[in-house]
Formats: sequence, C-alpha cells, structure tokens
Amino acid sequence: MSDDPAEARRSALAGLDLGSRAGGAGGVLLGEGPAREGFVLRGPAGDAAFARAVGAALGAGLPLEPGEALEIGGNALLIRLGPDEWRLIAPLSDDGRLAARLASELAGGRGALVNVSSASTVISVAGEHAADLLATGAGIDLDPAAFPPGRAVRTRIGNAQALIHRRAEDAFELHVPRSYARSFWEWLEERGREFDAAVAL
Amino acid sequence: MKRQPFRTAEGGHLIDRSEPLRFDFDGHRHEGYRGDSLASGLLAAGVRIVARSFKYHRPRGVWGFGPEEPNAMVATGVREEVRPNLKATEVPLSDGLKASGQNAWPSVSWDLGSAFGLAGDILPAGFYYKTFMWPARWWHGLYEPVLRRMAGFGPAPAAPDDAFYAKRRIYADVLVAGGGPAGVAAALAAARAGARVVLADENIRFGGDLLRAPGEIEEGDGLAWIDTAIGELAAMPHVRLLPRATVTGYYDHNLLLVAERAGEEAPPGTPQTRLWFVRAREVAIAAGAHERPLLFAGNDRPGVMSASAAGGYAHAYGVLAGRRAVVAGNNDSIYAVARLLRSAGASIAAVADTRPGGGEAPDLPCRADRAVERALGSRRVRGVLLRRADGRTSDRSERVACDLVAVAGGWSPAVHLHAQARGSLRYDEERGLILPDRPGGANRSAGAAAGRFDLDGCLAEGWAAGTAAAASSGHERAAGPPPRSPDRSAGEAPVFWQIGAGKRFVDLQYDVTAADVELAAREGYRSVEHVKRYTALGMGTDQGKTSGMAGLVLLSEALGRPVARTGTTTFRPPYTPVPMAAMAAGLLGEGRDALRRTAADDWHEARGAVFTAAGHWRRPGYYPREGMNEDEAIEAEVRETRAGVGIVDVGTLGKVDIQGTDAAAFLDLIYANRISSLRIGRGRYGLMLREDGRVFDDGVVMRLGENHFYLTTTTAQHHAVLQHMEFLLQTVWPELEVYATDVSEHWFAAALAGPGSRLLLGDVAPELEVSDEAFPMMAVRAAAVADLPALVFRMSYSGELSYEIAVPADYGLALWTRLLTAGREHGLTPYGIEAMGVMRIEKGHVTHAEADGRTTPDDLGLGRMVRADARSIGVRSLDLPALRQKGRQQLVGLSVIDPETRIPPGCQVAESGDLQPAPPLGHVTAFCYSPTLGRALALALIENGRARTGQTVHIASPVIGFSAAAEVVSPVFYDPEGKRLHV
Repeated sequence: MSDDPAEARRSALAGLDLGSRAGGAGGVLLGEGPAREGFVLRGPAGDAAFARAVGAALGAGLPLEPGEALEIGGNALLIRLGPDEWRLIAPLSDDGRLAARLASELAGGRGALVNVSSASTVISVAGEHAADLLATGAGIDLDPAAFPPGRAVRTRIGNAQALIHRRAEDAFELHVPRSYARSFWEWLEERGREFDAAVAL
Repeated sequence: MKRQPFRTAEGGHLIDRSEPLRFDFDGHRHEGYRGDSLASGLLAAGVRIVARSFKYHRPRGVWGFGPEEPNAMVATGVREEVRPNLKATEVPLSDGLKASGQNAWPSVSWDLGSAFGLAGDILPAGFYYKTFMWPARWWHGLYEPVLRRMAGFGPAPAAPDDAFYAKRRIYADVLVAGGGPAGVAAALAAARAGARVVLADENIRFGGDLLRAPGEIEEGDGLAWIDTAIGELAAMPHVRLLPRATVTGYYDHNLLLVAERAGEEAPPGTPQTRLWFVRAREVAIAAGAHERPLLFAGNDRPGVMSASAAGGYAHAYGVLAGRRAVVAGNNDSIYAVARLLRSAGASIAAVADTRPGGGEAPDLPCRADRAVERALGSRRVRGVLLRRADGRTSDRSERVACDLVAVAGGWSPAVHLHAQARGSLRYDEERGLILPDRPGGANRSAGAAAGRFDLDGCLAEGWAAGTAAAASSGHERAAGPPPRSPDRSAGEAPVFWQIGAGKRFVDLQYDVTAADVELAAREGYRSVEHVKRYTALGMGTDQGKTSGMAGLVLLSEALGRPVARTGTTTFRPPYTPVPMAAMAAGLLGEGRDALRRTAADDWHEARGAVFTAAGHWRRPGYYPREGMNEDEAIEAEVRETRAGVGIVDVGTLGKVDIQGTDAAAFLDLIYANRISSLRIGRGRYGLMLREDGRVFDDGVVMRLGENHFYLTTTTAQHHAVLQHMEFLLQTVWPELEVYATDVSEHWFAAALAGPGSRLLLGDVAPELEVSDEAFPMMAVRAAAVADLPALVFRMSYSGELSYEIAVPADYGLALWTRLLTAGREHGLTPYGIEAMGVMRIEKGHVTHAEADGRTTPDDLGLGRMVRADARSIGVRSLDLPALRQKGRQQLVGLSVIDPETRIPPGCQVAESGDLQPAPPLGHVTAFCYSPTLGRALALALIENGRARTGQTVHIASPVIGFSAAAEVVSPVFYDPEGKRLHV
C-alpha cells in the first residue's frame, strides 16, 4: 500500500495503453489530456452576493454568456453550462485550493459546490481536421464563427455525451463521462480513420 | 478493331484522353478514359445491351445521362464485394473496374429469362396479385423459387462491406441543391452577399445542363463561366463545394441529407460514401429537370435514348451513341441535339418534329408533323417507322434506318426536394408541367426545377434565389448584377405523349407499359397511389423520374379527368438510393454503442468475469471457477459471502448530491417517507413514488450536513430520477433553493458483505471506529480506507453485516485491488450480480422486477414506510379506490416444496397444478436456487398474496409443461429478524 493517494490514481483509458501506440502524424491527433480537478458550481446568476463570493474566490467575474469558458489564471477555467450551473476546472497541481477558497466564500450563502474531479476523462482532439472529426458525431455547429475558441458546450457526440471545450480553432478538449470514456475513445478512433488520426501523448 | 470504336477523334470535356483505363463488363475487356462514366465507356466500346429489364427481361441499353437512368442497371465488383443496383450513368470508370449487367442470367446478351418477353401478355399489371393465387401448393415448389431467380434487383453481396463510410454534420446559411447554371448563380450571389454556402451537385463536375450541351454566358463559353465562378467560390472560406454529392432528402426544420460519393482519384481511405447532414437556414433548389420519353412501340430498345443524353455523350465524353441517328421530339431541343451529334461525326437520318409547324431547319433532314411510331430491331434498334404525329392511319409510315433514336419529350422539373419539404405543387395545364407552388420550408426553387428552361432565365432566377436566401439569413451585401446569356428560348414543349400501338413502355425499369396503366384504370383504380402500387410504375430505383409524368397523363386520360385532379404520388426521400452502409456509418464495429465500464472493470476482465449487461453498463455476472459450472460458481460466491466476507462492485448505482437551504424539505417532497428527520451522519432507505402512486425508485439517502445530502438510485432509473428532480425544481418548486448534482461518474463504490466484513474494514481503515456502537447500522463516515479518501456507509442489500465504500472513481481500481489484497487473509470472495441477485431474493428486497410501474408500496409490503400526512409526490394517489381495492396483487415469497425442483423462467402462479387454462393468480418476478436454504425460491406478485400465506399454490409454465407446488411465505426467506446485520 502506498501513502500517497496520487499514485493510486488511474485513468479510465489506462487499459488502452495509449503510450505504446503514440506516434505518427495525421490529420487529427488524439490524446488523453492531463487529468483535472473539476467542480460543479451551482447558484443563482442574478444574486449579487453569490456573484461577489465567486469573484472574491476566483478573482474573476461570473461568465454569463452561454458556453463562455473564462480563463481565471493558473490554467483554470470557469465555464457557464446552464442558467444556474458552471464548471470549475483546475489543474491537479492546484490541489483543491481554488475550490476550497470558493467553498469558504460560498459558505452560509446561496449556491453549491460539488467535487466531480473523477467524473470526466479528458480527451484532446487537435489538428487540421479536428473539427471535422467532431462533426462526424456531434450535432452542433462547429464553425469557428458559431463556436469560437474560448467556448464550451455540453452535447451528445458519437456514443457519449461530452463537454467540448474549444481551446483554439483546431484544438479541442472533450470532457467525457468516465464510464463512457473507453468506448467513446474507440468510437473516436474508428471515425478518425477518415482523417488518418494518430495517437499523441 | 479499334478499342473504342464509338469514340470521336476529339472533344469530350469530361474525359482525359491521356489516361486510358481498362475495365471489364460481363467478362469482356474494354477500354475507356479517365473521366468516363461506365455508361459512356460502354457506349464508346460499342456495348449496347447493358442490362435486362425487370419483368420481361428485354435487352436494355443506356437511356439517360445521370441519376434519372431507368435502364442501365449494373453491379460492380464480384461475388463477396459485389455492389448491386447501380446506374451505369453514375458509376465512374476506374482502372480494373469489373461490372456486369443486371437481371440477366447467365449474361445480358444471352438471357434465358427473355422467354418471359415472348409470353409478355401473360404478365399484365397486377400480375403477381392475379397469378400466384392458385393452386397454393405450387407456391413453395414452383412460384417462389422461380420468382426468386427471375425477379429481384441484382445480386446481394456475400460478405460484409468493409469499405469505409462516413457522416458529417454541418450548418449553412444557404444550401444550394444543384450545380447547374441556376445553382452556381445562386451560390455565387449568396456567397458574395456573405452567406455561409454549401453547393452540392450530383455530377463530377459543376455545370449541370452545360455539361451536355454548349451554352453562352457573359459573352463566352458557358462552362468556362461556370469554372470561373466555381474558382471564385472555392477561394471563399465560407463556401463548401460538394461535387459528386446528391441532395437526397429534405427533412423537417431544413435538415437536408447529402450523399457524397468518393471520386475515382480519391486517396485511399476516402469514404465510399459520405452522408452530410446539413442544417440550412435557407435552401435554393436548383435541381434541374428530367427529359421525358415519348411513347411508341419498342421505345425501350437499346439505341433509343433521351435526346439530351445522346447529345451529352457526344459533347461531354466524345462518344457517339450511334452513327446514324433519328432525332425525334416535340420541342426545339431536337435541332440543337441533331447539330451536336452531326458535329461529333454522326449522320442524321431524320429530325422528326411532332409539331405541325416545326421542322424548318434547312441544314437538317427535317420531318415536320412526324413522330416515331415504332422502333425496329430487337437486340438493338435498326430503324424507325415515322408517321404523322396525329396518328391518322391514312398515310403510309416512312421507314428510316438508324442505330440511334434520340427522343425529346420535353422536361419534367425536379420538384422532389420542394415536395419533400411539404411544399405544394401545381399543374400548369398549358405547359404540361408540374411546378413547385407554395414552399413548405425556408426554400425557393429556381431554374429548370421551377420550370424555367432558358439559360438566361435560369441564371436570373438562380441569382435572385441566392440573393433572397442570403438576405433571409442575414446577409445583404450587394452581389452585383446577375450573369446574362443570349439564350432566352422558352424551351416549351406541347404535351405530346404517344402514338401507335404495341408495347409502349412508360416505366422502363419496372417494365410498365401504357397498356398496363390503362388496364389498371379499367379495373377500377382511381388513386394514383394505388395505380403506382398495382402496376409498380415509378417504384424502381429511379423512382419514376422519367416515367412519372407520362404515367400520370395516361391515367388521367384513361379516367377522363384533368391531370390536376389525378395528382402525383408522394415524393419521399431519398431522391436517389443511399447505401445502407452509409446510413450505418459509425454505428457498426468498435464503439458502435456506448459500453459503460466501472473503475474496477480492468480487474474484472483480467479475473475472467462473465459480464452481464445492465443498460449500457457491463457488470460482472459471476467469476468462473475451476471445476465448477456457472450455477456452482454462483452458489459458492453466495455461500462464502454469507459465511465469511464477499466484495461486490456497486459502481453502477446512480448517485446524486443534494445541497441547498431547502434540501431536506425537497427530499421530504420527493420521497414517500420522511427524510428531514435524519441526523447528520445517518442514512435511511428512501422510497420514491410516481405522481400516480406507483413505486418509482428506491435507494438510500444520507445526510452529510445540515443542508447536504447524498443519495443513491437504482442503476436503471438513475437518469429518470435526475430528470424527475430537475423537472420539479425548475417548474413546480422553483422557489426552493436546492441543487441536485449527478455525481454517479465521480464516485466508485464497492460493498463488503458478510460476517467478516467488519474485521476486514478495521484492517484497511485503522482510524475508523468500526464497532457496532461507534458505527451503527445506517451510519455514514468519512475516513481513509486503504489510504484512499473514502465515504463508508453501513447498510446492507445482502442481508449480512455490510459496508459500502465509495471513493473518487480515479481511485476505484486502487480501492478494489487493495481490498482484495488485504482481504486475502480474511478469505475475501469477489461476487457478481448473479450472487447479489440470489441474496436479494433470499432477503425479499425489491428491484424493478417487482416495482414494475404497476405496484404500490402496499403491494410490495412497504406500506408502513409511507407517511400518513404527506404532501409528498404520489402519496395522495394512494387513496384512489383502484389502489385500495381488494384483490390487488401483492408480493409474496414462494418456497418450492420439492427441494430438487429448479424453476424455469417465465412462470405464472396458479391455484391448480393441472396446467389447464385458467386465470393465473399472478406471476413469478424473480427466482433462484438458494444455496443458503437448499431449495428453489421465488418472489411473486399474486392476488391477495399476503392473505394466502401458508397456502399451497403452483408455479407453472403451461408453455413448457412445467408445474411445481410451492408454499406461500413471507418474501423475507432468510433471517427475517435481521440479526445478521448486527453480528
């Protein structure tokens, strides 16, 4: 047994042994993104105290545009996903500090913060045909004019549902429910044949 | 002999003469050029018989130029990889292509089935309905095998199609269907205005009718103008050009399906077919028109073809469909076609114009007021009989020798997409055209598809449609004036259809003759839809593109009513056939459907677990053991758990986090029992009802803080419960401050069960007080378990002392393997859901087999859980008379009297064991062999069940003749006092 829980961490894609298959160049590069901390933030968007608490904890205002993925420093993101729902995504190295700050600011007021760090597997899809590959299975408009970098959307894609975050015109991160991650990856690779998809680390 | 005897010395803008291709048709080697279609390649090689007809097996040649082709049905590939039912006009020629003509055995030029043609009169309309009726015993021996051999379209491939197929979903401001002059003008106008444009055209090159015949645009060659326009469009980032792509379907909310075929020079790996799902704000329909046939005897002979196609083969491919041509028709286009054929090297034997005033072209051998009465020749056309167009018999027919009859019967606008979008149609009596009327979606038709046949008009209409469509989608930048053409000929054709007697084919693909349509009318058919089904007119893969109008007019004439009253058959997608494999793209093979795995799945798989599907999840059913069969392995898992300690993966349960100042109040409303009285750190079994009082779901609710709860749902109802809660919070009680968050994916959970579970838990969670006093039943504790941050609940499904341990799923496998390692000295046994199912039956716990949407809490023996004063959902419905009346089915246990008996699936419960028909008392919901009690047990819902306790009933399956006596007992077979929860 180990004392460090971090060593016990295991990705839902570990069984695929992607490391041994990485290499090559293709129209799309598929990879597993770094694991993140994830928190569901719920609260009334119009409530001044709630907005203040979030602002005080994160040093940024609440993103209010649907799908707006606001970078809040330290590689963290706050994404608006619904009328009263946001997702806070932070690097593992943050070690829960942002969330703890947010939880303490929210304490006693309205709103809720729920840890869902293990709920998603992060899959990166990048390259010239990244949007084309996603368009084989997602029903949303992926044109950069309609879905520009810095936006995220939760939608059905292929055999799963994912939170799709567009980091750049040709780079996406998909946060896929953990239990679906492996069969979604298989779907993605199979559809990726059209674009000569390769595995990247 | 020359390899391509019918290839002209020069010309043919679609072909590349520097690249000859070899192909094989019906076993014969031929040569064509890059850019050829199979049809043009065959015509160049002098092959005239391309297929046999469906019913009479008459020899058939190429009739058309594109997707309207009714005749030249071929299959490509051989045996396993055969692709049947292709139109030779749509198959691009490739080097090494192997193709064969269809409906012929052994080959198209020597076909045994053509004997049917000699006996043609025994195959009238409705032949199938009339003939194969009697005697019935002939069906198996004669009719069916013969029909199987002779009928049917093409061979089915013997092996799976392993070509790659793809799908793509895109959005557009303006989708332009058709890349002829009207469509290109529409696309250009819309794109210049700033709209996001998709331009799809079925041909390999944009140009539409300009591919088949030259035209002038903007004082230059029309096709050159098209190329320039396409070049401009291609350079615009907001334009997507899709050649070789047919808009096949127009669905609700302007969703259109476009089927794109791979080009012959496509790199390997290119999808064979790619289906584009295009969501367009506006649609410009510039789908063109199809040339109509003329009806005369022998109009199906190889060598009789559409005039525009005959001209097209010469112009586009440099191929003569014949050396000596008769061009016959009812409109001005015959003169242009005749000159096109002549300039390509054919001699023109006659140009027959049905119009009395026609035929004033001094350079051509014109015959005004003349129509083709009959095509001569059998395997191919050798001449025609011309006769006065009004059909009067006083004049003698003129015999003209020829090997090509190019017929021009006017044009039918392609109103398919307009009609698929539920747009209305109108019949223009004067012009004999069915035209788009009111659009059924955000679309507009332009050019020939709207009945505009002159080039200048097509350009103007296309330009206007593109401009208007762009404006409607918010793009109003000025696009400039429309391109112009000197061609302003109206292209009008009088409605002239037929002459003479004999086999005049209306539908070439299904061998429907004029006489068949007339017969259908005589036999009482009135509806055009019924005539279609009776005669098969328009039912082929071409869907009557050429034949529809002729059939409609014939039927109207036979019924003596105007065409407008007869109406058309319904235009349904697809416009042209779409391969099933393309529709299945992404739905076959790996990842075809979601397979959900728990965090410990890799361990189960390595351990050789036999998995059971639970929705999309796979769960270990049991773990096979050396020297044991399935039943024995499951029984061992149960025995070892009840005697020692077992572990089961319960990662699939739904888990919901509930927070907010009104959380407790909300849970009181959605559960039938009280939740708000829970103390922090304790949990309770919760029963959720539907509005109608039936049991909806159950699970455990735990209070983690004053305003913070964590609850579980069953695996099956997880999403339904979440939806239910979210619906109530958003619509019924929006004033409640409650946030329900799905945390099912975040938490993995495993349950330790059995008298040895406390010791094991104590070992792996040294900081946790595990004594019965410190950690009582239904308590929850946060603790480090196996050095992992965990929540531990003391609860039981198995009926044994049990703890459920939840960790973030990233640690799930670590938790599982560490527990297994630590459990080695405790004799820890992993068990699957089969053993779990046995233990739950022994304890009488309900699942969705019992809470089946019909049962109330009282039916299931859970009536005491319901609060009397509740406002909770469903509780008031429990007072409905129907839910309180006597005779309802209630949950009972059935203990089988003979210990050797095993219960089969699907049993009822009957009063008597004689298997005679009688209303059953109820049915078995679950059954097992209980290794704990040494006999078969069942749970059952039976009428007045609890009152029957102690009685003998019969578990019966009349279907397989099974019956076994059983005693009605409490559903809690094992440890009814619950002592084992506290060992």
